[in-house]
Amino acid sequence: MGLASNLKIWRGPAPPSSEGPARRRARRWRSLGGLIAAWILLGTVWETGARLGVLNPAILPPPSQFIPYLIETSGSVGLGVNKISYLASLVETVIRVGIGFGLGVGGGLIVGTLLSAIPLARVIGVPIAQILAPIAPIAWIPLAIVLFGTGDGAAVFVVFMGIAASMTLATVAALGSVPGEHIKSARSLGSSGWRLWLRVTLPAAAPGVATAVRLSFFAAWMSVLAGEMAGINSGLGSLVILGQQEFQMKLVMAGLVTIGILGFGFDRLLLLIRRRLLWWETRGARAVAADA
Amino acid sequence: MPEIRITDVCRDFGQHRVLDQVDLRLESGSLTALVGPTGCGKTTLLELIAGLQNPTRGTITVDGEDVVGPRRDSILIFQQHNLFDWLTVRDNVAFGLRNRGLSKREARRRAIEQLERVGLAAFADRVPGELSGGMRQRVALARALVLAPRLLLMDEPFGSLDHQTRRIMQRYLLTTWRQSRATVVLVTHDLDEAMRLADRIVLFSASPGRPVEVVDVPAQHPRNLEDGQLRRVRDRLLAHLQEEVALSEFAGAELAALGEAGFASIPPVVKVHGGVSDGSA
Repeated sequence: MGLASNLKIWRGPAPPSSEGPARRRARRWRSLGGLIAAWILLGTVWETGARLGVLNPAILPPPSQFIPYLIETSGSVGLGVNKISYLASLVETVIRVGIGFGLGVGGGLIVGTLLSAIPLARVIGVPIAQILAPIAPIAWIPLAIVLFGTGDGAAVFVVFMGIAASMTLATVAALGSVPGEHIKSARSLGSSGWRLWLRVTLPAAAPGVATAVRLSFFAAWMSVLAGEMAGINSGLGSLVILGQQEFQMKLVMAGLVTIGILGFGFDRLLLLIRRRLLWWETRGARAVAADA
Repeated sequence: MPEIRITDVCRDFGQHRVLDQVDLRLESGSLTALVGPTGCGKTTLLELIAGLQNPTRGTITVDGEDVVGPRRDSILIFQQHNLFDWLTVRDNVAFGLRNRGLSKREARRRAIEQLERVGLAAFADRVPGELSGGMRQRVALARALVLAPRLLLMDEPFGSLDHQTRRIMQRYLLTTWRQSRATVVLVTHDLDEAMRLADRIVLFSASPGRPVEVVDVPAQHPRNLEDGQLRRVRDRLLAHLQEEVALSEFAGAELAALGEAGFASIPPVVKVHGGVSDGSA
């Protein structure tokens, strides 16, 4: 039959090519190489500048000074009950940001989902979130200290308030931007109710939510440090402020570099989790890159 | 195979009437093309038949049953493939089967069988992001066909494909339609596509949308559109379609200008089969 012989044109497609993973590996190595190169460059400029006297080592002590200092002295500042050490501060800050971030993201996801599901709640809830979202995290500190004192509770509260409202709005937006035709197709294929929500709406909204989670981490990280610098009297932020007050610039530098490395590390971790959960994104991207 | 009866159907969106007094009967196992200018309500009619919307007035029955929601035996396919990015090709095809209560294993087995039938088995583990446009639309078709639908509703299914791929997909649709003998309703703005595929062409006027001409295409497949009889039908439908498009796109003054440019020299419309109105100018 004429038709069937014509169909041979598109039957028997080429087998899947295997160059994808190799390309991906190459890209990963390149970005790792860039990271190492950036650190070497920054360290070299810093060290050379300090040796040549261009950068005053008393104010900007280079890594060759603050790293041994940290190991030798365990990086403590303050006296008596106010004495805090580098390692304890670091652990405290990480725990605070972890709890606040978890609560803020979780709360935002739950409230955002409920707001998307209930139109009447959305009419009232979204404007409330829109009013709360632009309040700078640092503006919550006075209230946090009055409510919870100057300890962990206040820090967690500041982080939570810093991200929960924007996370709620991002969730509503992500769920709202799921294409209507996707839902119609799924319904036409027999999906409905919870199943439709879990298997279609949720994964379709997931990339938008994941981006919001990553941005929320930055906000959370800044919130906790700002809080610790402005009244909450422990943690990494507090360590940096106390170091400055006692003119322990090696400790200040160690604190700043730690803040940068930890923030970077957590962001990478979130990216890794995203790639695991939203595994299809990287595969689609690989195809696009291969086409280009 | 189901027969569709559309009786006195109107559909309003607020004050705006999208469909007005549509009366159509689509025979079981037929392939009907709905053709008309943008905004003539042909997509709305398709979604009404699919049970994704409800008519403001009138009734639609499939096999004598009122359509009140999505039916198990009817599937709607859109211009965009609407494959789920987060599922592999295999799991996309298995999606509808899973909704029908099949085990994951059985659903996947049948999905692979279907993919083998359409020559896409080698791509079962890929995700939609890794496929070409034509392949994605073929997977979308496979995802519908694996459910053995008795009623296949297609909304410009090949509209986003390039010309060559579209021709191949049209042939592919004809072959699969002949095998399944499902009733197919195809919305298109491409008259040639309608002429190549359909048993019957329903031409819609715009605002409010209603069928103005129904033409039976008697020729067998494959068709040569340059053949005398088909060519006459096509020329007349094309003229009528151009008139409808012009009426829905342009205002009176612009139409006069178009007339001077030779566009309004439209031959008088002759009804072939059950035309409903004269296409109120």
